[in-house]
Amino acid sequence: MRPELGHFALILAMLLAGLQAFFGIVGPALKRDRWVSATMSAAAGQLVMVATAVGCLVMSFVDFDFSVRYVAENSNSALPLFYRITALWGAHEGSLLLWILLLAGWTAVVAIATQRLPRRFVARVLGVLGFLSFGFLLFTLITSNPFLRLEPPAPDGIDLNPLLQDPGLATHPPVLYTGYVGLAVAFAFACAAMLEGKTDSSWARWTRPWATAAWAFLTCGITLGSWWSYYTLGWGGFWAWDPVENASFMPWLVGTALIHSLAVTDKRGLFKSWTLLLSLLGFSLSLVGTFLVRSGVTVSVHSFAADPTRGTAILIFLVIAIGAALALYAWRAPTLKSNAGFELTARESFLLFNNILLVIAAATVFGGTMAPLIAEALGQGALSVGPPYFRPTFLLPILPLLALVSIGIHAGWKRGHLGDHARAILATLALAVALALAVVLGVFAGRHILAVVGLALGGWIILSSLVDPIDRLRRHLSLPRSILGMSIAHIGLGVAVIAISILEPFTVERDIALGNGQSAQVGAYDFKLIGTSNVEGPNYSAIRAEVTVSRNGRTVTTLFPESRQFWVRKQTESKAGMKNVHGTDLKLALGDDLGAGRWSMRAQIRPMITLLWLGPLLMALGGFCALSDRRYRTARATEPIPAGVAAPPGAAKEHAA
Amino acid sequence: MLPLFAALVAALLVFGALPVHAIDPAQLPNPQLEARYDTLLHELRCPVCQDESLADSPADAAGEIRAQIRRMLLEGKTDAQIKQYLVSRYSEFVLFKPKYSWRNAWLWLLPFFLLAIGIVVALRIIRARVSLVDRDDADPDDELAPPREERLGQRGRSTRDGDPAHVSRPAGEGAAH
Amino acid sequence: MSKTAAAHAKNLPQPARTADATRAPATPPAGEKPRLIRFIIPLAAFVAIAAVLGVGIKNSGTVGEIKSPLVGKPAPNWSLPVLDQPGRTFGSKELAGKWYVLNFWGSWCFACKDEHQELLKISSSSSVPIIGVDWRDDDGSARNFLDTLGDPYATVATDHDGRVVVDWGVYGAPESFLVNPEGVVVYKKIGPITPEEWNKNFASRLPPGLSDRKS
Repeated sequence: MRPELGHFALILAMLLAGLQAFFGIVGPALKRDRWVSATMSAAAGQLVMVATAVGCLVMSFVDFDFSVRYVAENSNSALPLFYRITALWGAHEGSLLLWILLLAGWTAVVAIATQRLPRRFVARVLGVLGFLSFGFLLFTLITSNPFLRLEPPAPDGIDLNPLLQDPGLATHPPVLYTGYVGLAVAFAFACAAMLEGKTDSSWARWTRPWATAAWAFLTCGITLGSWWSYYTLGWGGFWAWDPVENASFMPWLVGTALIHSLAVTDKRGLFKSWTLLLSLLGFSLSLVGTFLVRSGVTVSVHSFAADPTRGTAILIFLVIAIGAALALYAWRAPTLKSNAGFELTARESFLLFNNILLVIAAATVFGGTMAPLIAEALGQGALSVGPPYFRPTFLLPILPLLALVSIGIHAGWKRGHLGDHARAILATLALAVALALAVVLGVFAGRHILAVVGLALGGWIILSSLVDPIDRLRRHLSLPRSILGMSIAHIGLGVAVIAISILEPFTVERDIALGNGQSAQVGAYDFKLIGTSNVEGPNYSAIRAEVTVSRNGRTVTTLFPESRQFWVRKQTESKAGMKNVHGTDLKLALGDDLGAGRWSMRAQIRPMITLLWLGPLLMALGGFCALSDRRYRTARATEPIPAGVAAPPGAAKEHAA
Repeated sequence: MLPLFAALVAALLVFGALPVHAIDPAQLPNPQLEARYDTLLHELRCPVCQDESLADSPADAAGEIRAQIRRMLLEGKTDAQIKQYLVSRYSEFVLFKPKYSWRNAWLWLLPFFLLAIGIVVALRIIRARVSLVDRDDADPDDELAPPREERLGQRGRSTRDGDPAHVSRPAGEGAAH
Repeated sequence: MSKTAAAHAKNLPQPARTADATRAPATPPAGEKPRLIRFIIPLAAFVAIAAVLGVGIKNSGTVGEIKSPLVGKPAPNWSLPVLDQPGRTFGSKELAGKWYVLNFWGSWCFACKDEHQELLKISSSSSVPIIGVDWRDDDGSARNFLDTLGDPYATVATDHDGRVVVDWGVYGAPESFLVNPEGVVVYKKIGPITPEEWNKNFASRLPPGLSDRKS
């Protein structure tokens, strides 16, 4: 009964989404204010129905209802409760449902948090979001219904994929999807602006917090995914330039460009077409990413099971949604004009380069990811593109960009006045280079040019980001959250750059074979196998090894890698033993039993990897801090004050130093 | 990103429950060979798996290819010869780095091409905007700017949003307070 | 900066009407057309990408399946010890001038068990020799396997160190190759041979008579 209820709720949700789209887009056009209000109700109803459907599916998992095919395919009577719930998004159908839930959720938040914006504009935003919801719901109901039943019910489920039985699973997809779907809000704001034929830049101010929030979530989601796969697998690193990884990275690059471009449009009314296009591009890449993962078109460890019918359906939806948006753009963008000017060394100039270089980076990643498809489409046979391509081509636009960040951060709007900051710029650069050389030559005794360059660039960004906040605090000036957030985020960027510059050249990875009491040298550390024992888990049996790690004769830590055999799926999974010692990860994964008590193992030493997780965390934190700035909560129901006119007293008071 | 290791599961079904992991502690006699071996394993794709390098692939065929590479290294073959051999058996798909060929020229030249266009576009826009600077009355200060109490005598610096507040202090210029 | 501004004061751009926010090339109004076309570029690019993705779906059944570079080329020379016949080797030399099917298998391979029935049928109904290459197996298990399930092979060669496996570009077990009397690889099958597969791709390539019942 319950699955049918869920199914029914999903159908209702789709109808409500359709109404939401209709009222939201047609209502304002025909100036029917009743329809405009109806949009909100439709959105609320859709959320309720989607939540109901999700609730039904979750309960089916919790109650071991193996008459539901999706549950039977992703669960088992021995599966712990926590994973029974997170199995909801463990495969294609459920993850789509998660996407739909998050889209409905974002829609609701938009409806609630935009009380001060013009009603018709908000209705259009909700209408566009409703159109997207409708498309996803239709696709789900037709091709990927999670409520299909098994007749007769399966006696037991075939269990959730063991790789997904990990805490990382619980956090990575929801956070990542929150980011993906959040970009739809920026997309909707842009479409609403185009539908209204707006030529001013007020929509940019309104969009900023939403775009920043989506970007921050996406940053967290990608980092969580990278962290999870690194931490879970006994081998491999944190980024493989896999097509699905790229599919999440491209929206992030465009999202970064977007939040910066929005700042320019908000501040000076410039780059309106750029900002519009970036808003459209960000979510379009999210959709393309969805497509790549589920259509079987690319070769990736992350792909869901391939299904050409689903692929075709998504592609059709893609073409309609993105095609319509880009057509709108082609129609409206030419009407956007601005007379603002700026100098070569002004902030706007740097942000222009920021836009361009980030888009180039995204386009390059896109080209590399699509290359195998293009080669096949042209009948050229198999083409394989991997890290040896992506690394150098990605660095080409990004290295100059990183340098520009440290300079541009000092630039003023309209007139750069960079000369005033020449001392600060040069001092920070010199200090960064000195520190970089000291670390690479001194701490790591290495001679990698790229490591020095990377470390210097990252250090320069951090130092440059500190200049303004420190100066403000010293002079007892205000430090608004937007500036604080910006500084924190840029510092996070610098930290991430430093982390990668250290990790790439100085990671050590070696396969060894140890018997009881034997030891092997890996990098600066000594790994010694003490012994093995048998362990039982909730749904697996494992062999656990005890290995002590020492350096210069002193024991640093003990690791406990396991080789787990899952009862149901009969898969063997290697669970790495890992400890973080002063920021460096020591990781050991069990391989095969070589007989006579000897085991093959893979040891990894990843220096300062904690920085790799800290950096993006700071970036996201900075984003959240910036979007909580007071300016986004001021009463701005009408158009912004044109330049040159005095601001109303209330607004000025809010920003008094 | 939900690694449904479809290929791995399928591989296990096809190849049987032989738990051959990617972990392969075979030894080579000297560190130079060891280093070359390591690099090769990361530059070559496992032809059977979904997007894994030979270093990280648990597939049986990958294990055999690794063994073959070790044999060829010990026989004194160069990296190029080893790669050529594998390409002749498993096609170019086994290379992670697309060959430098006319066929792949567009892929390798794309970033440079985009960069060139990008710079040209940027400079054109900047040139146009620079010419508007003096005709443009708008002062970025006006929009919700804080009071300009520090503006006087400070060469236009203030605490406006997004603008750095600090000043490098040449000798003789008064400090803020 | 003021120098630049002064220099530019001489070439003041056209009236605001044609100065677009992001694409102000300062060309006369006649430049409107190329300016407008720029806004169509995103849409056009998207259509092209969608087309590639569409073609990708059509081909998605074969994604990752690479055409073997060996098909149509001379088969690698090989020579391996024979199962349970120490001292004897067997290989391409002994098979020169003959059609044969080379089948890579192992006793550890589940799908090989499925394929075995079909191989037995083929070996009894056709006169093309099926040569088995036992991949990374210990001879005892291999012998067990064949004793229990039957032996469809004209000869069983053992590849203990996997050299021949890599030489033939094998992806996994079971895998089969059809070689003609000139020593050229005519067809490669990845995975178990099914009856349809045999008829469609193997038997169809053999000269009449070979794929029939033995005389």
